[in-house]
Amino acid sequence: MKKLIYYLGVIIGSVMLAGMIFPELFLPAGITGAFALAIFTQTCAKNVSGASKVFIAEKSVATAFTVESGEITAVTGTTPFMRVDAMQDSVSWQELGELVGLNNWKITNTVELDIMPPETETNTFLQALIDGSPCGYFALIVDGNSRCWVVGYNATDIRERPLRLGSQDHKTGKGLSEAEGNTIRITLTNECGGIALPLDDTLNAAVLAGTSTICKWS
Amino acid sequence: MAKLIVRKEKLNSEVAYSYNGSSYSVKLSEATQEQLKILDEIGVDVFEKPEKNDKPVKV
Repeated sequence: MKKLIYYLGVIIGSVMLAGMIFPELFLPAGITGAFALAIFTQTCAKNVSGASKVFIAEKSVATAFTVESGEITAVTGTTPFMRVDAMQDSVSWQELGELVGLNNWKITNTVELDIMPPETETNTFLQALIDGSPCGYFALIVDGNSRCWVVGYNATDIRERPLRLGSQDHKTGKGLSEAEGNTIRITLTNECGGIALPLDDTLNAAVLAGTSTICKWS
Repeated sequence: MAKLIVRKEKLNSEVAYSYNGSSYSVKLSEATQEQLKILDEIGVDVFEKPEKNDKPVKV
């Protein structure tokens, strides 16, 4: 009996020790509410503002996301993310979190990009965005630090709150001195309960290299 | 249909997918064969490839 208690103690102690050293073993994959506050260490590296590229996928085409340790390791679908050639320095993504009531956390994503010139091709692209909006979109944003993020999917809502076309704004402008004249600003937006996830290093590198099969390049 | 086996390195992964108009999330280490079959249908690449039978076939 004493031996049994001894061995039980060793087993329980080992499990507790493993939990303290490797807490991720006892947490579900993805970002969930299960994370306890821990220290945050800042990496000594440059931090570049802005976003450089955007790709947009219809929810119905990007059929599944595989997530490990809070990073997306795979996207299932036949080259779901379409390359969108937006104007330089016009792509932006805002992830705004705010408290609602006492216990509810709401995140509003806003993805903006400008395209030009107003032409039949831009009309076709816009009409496709309008038509697909009821089902929703996921956007792949390459930020200024060359990190890729999938916006519209999150671990809390899973795939239920994708981005929708929030607005399209086209003004001719009043003359040659208006830099934003004859550009079309597209806004994709959603309200959701979870933060966006980045791609893992392998998938991230493939997107940056232009070789990833999750993006349609041409 | 042969039993679907998740590759070892993917066991800690979680897959978020749409099926029959709803979204689901499943941890691969805890997924049932029914769930794995759905993932296979969708085309999620997490399964071990079936071994080729190299033995000569007896006639």
